[in-house]
Amino acid sequence: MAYSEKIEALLRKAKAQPGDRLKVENPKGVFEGVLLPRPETGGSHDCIILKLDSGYNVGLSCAKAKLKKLEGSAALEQFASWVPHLAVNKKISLVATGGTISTRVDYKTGGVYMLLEPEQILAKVPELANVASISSIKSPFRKASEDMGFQDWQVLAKEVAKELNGDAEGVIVTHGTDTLHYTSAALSFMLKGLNKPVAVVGAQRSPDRGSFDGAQNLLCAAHYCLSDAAEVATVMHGTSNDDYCLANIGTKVRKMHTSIRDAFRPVNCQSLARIWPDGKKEFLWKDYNKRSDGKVVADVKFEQKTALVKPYPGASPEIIDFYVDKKYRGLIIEGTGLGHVPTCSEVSWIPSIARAIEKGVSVAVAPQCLYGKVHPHVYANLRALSSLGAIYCGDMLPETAYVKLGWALGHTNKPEKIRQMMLKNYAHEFNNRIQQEDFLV
Amino acid sequence: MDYSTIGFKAGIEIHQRLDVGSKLFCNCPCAVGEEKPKSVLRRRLRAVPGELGIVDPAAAFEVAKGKTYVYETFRGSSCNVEEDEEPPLELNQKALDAALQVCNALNASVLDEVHVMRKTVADGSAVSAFQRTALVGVNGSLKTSKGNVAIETVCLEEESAGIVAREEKETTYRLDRLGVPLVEIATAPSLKDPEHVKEAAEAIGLLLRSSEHVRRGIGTIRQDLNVSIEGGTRVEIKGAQQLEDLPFLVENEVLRQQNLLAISAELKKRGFKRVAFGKPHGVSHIFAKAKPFLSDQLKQGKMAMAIKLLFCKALLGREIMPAHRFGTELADYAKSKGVKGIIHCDEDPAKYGLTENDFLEVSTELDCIEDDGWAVVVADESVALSALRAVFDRAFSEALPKETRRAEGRISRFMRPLPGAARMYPETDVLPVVVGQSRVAKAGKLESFEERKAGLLQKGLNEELAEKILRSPDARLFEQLSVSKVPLKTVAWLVTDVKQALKREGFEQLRLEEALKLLEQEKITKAAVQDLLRLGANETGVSLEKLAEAGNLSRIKGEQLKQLAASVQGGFGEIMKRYRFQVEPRELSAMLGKEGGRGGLSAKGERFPPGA
Repeated sequence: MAYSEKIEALLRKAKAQPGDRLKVENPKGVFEGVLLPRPETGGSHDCIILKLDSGYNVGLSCAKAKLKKLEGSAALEQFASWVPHLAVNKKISLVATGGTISTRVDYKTGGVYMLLEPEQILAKVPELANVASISSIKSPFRKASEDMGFQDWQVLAKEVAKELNGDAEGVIVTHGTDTLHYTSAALSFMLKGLNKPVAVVGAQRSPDRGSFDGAQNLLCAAHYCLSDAAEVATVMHGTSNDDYCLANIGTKVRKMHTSIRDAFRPVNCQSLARIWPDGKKEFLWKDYNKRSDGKVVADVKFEQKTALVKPYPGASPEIIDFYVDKKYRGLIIEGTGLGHVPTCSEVSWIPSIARAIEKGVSVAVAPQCLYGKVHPHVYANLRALSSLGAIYCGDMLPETAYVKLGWALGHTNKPEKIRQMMLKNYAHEFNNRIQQEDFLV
Repeated sequence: MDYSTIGFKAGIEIHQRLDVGSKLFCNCPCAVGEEKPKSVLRRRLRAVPGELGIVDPAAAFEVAKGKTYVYETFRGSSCNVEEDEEPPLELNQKALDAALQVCNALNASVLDEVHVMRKTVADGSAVSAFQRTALVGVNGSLKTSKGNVAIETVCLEEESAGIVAREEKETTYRLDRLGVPLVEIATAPSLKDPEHVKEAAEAIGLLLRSSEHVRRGIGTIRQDLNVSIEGGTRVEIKGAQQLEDLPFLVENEVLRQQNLLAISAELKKRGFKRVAFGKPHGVSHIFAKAKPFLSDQLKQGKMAMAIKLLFCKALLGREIMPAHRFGTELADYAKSKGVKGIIHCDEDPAKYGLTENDFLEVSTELDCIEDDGWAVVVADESVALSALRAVFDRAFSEALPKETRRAEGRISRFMRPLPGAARMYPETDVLPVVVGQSRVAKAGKLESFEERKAGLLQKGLNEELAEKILRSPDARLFEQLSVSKVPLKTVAWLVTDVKQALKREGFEQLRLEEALKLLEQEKITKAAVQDLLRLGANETGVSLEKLAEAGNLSRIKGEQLKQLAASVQGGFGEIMKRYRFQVEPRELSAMLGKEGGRGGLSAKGERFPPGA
């Protein structure tokens, strides 16, 4: 949303542009300040926004207003770029994408921007210099995480693999939080023969505020990168306090809250580790993969025609038909309860799923409940579905199952091979021994 | 003192908490201090970029080493919004309307569009590290006996978190207070003298009290002062709570600035030249024999360190305002760096269990001659260094430093340097609000003190009682209760004298409205009111009417009174003596008069409550 035609005309006449100093005289008084652009939503098109010298922004009606451009203008602020290279000789690579962790607010105009350089993120966390030297910084693309897709995962996996095969001890990927767990799952499958730690990190609070949570996340991620784990893990706040972070296995983690700092929780297992910003680490897993000298291969094939479908009471099976008609090759169904779809009602999904499988579409079932496993045999309805050939993904998270199916379909056309791949435990996506304490961790 | 000749400038900011149901940006009720915390959060703050957006890595290191902030959270009065775990909801519209009402009362122009800003706050009192604030009105004016005072701004903002404890490594705040809506009214720095400051503050306070949307009670209104004089500097004094203290705070600040200027002049006269901050000397060996509160710290590994303060001898001990010496001023700077205080050359060594000779030894250690003074701190080495540095810089600052000071009764103490222009940027999670003329008009106007007084006079109160009522915290309560048919004087007596007397006795839950109803229905007498309210405060589950019956406090009137009068020997005096809580003297006297008995109000000249 821009200013109204009327205001635009007034501004043209005064030869004023956002950033210029402007005097506005209207019946309420005389106001001087910096002309700001209109925010995209809220307020009235017919108000001019000034930032007064006191710092306050105000909206002034243009009715009966006289405008005069004054000397001077506010340039965009300079932001520090700083890369920690101190005496520490341990090297870490940074691959920056986008998201809250790399936004900034321009204090003069109030606009929210992506940081121009990833180095500017590091300037927020000078203590990193005590932990490691950030020897390589890459930024293959800058996107909010909700705008990312499998092509971005492919680019990212290749970039990360390159860094892992260099002299870095580990790699930090900065990322928006909304779909961070899809990316962590994608990297878990795509980085074949993972040899070093990979930390996927975001922030729930923006870096403009003193309460920025990303700083602790980055510090703990750096410590994770120096650990002996050869695993892809998310590293985010473990509690609402600024005390420690949780490193969670990339395939078993999910954003479980829209806004709190500790939104990323392990599902159906424990966290891999607790990590404190001072470097203390407590590994909760014993059987994680250890750092090795091997080379990692970016195995990034992915089938675009893969979809995630959620049945709900009264949902029409036409959803399945749609995907089949659109030549989709794989569907993850978030089954209700133990893995159901409507079976005996007027809108049974069974015929449509049967048709899909007949046409060579791989159909797999993951738990809508998130916690616990889907099971092919407990109820007759389940048997109906599994006898059609649907693959039951146990306790695999639906998002992880979606990424895995797309990745598997990128490798083969053969339904049997797909089934084998879906049921093989590549990156801890299955936990075969779920215990009481793995619920709501 | 003639304030017109010293370049005196003063302005006030009044912060008034609003009572509009919920907080400014969430649905939590504004119940401050009413419950025990349910849990605590522990957070740290990051350095935010300086004015040019540049973080000085060295400064950031300091912050990283810095404090932990502990936040108490509450089941009933804080949520994810206060905890900085959820974006704010939209601006509380009732609070905005209350602010519009204030604008109208002060003839301030309301801005066409109100934008919520984030004002950065670095002391931990806001969990997010910023306070949300919005400019609502500008260019108002306030009538005073010394002319109109310009009201520069009317803002709506969030209250900060309440401080619970401040310790060396961590500060604890409570979140029930964070986010309570405040209206902030700022005058121009055009107040003429200390009494004028008080008058303006009182006038604004009285105006605010006429709003039904403001909170009452201790801590709900706060005054900040801005004071400067010619040759001095602008100082902000925060948190004055008592109106009576304001003129003293202003006078003492003028005095402080004048005396500090005199000290600067004296230093120049003594030949002071700027020198660099030299390396402090260790003097632990001298202080090892001091009283345990010092020597024990040394045993624990802390150090006593000293610096020379050139030409400062006898100046450190000079009083710059009541009970506050130049040395106290320097000590406050040192304390801001984490030490407990300073020891200086103009003090009595006996205070520390030391002798004149010990103090001389410190002077010798530092090569002090004649006019040279010194200061000592006891702390960990790094803390001691930064504290001494702060003392040195303050003692020899070129001009009087611009400061934010904290009101402590009638004087003020150094809190922190005055921040530069407030660093503000838009609260992008809250949309701007368009405020049309019709909304401003609908918000209405607060009646001025004079208008309200005139109203009460018209209703029949005398001047003295009207002012007493309007200045009391219960003016609103009075207005609520004065719709009853009971005479206004009785209502006034009830909400002022009776309420205050019973509060002093410790009774809080007074059922005034219920008592008034019984008076209106002639079910009790005025004489019975206090006893009945006492009973009612203890027996909250029982109606006052029942309590009156049970406690022999029900009024005896009409036929019943006639029978009583007939049965009691001794006439008016005797009846009133025995039944003074149950009989209205006026009714009895009228009855006895009519029946041919003895007239007069009270045979013994007993005083009864005022009223009908």
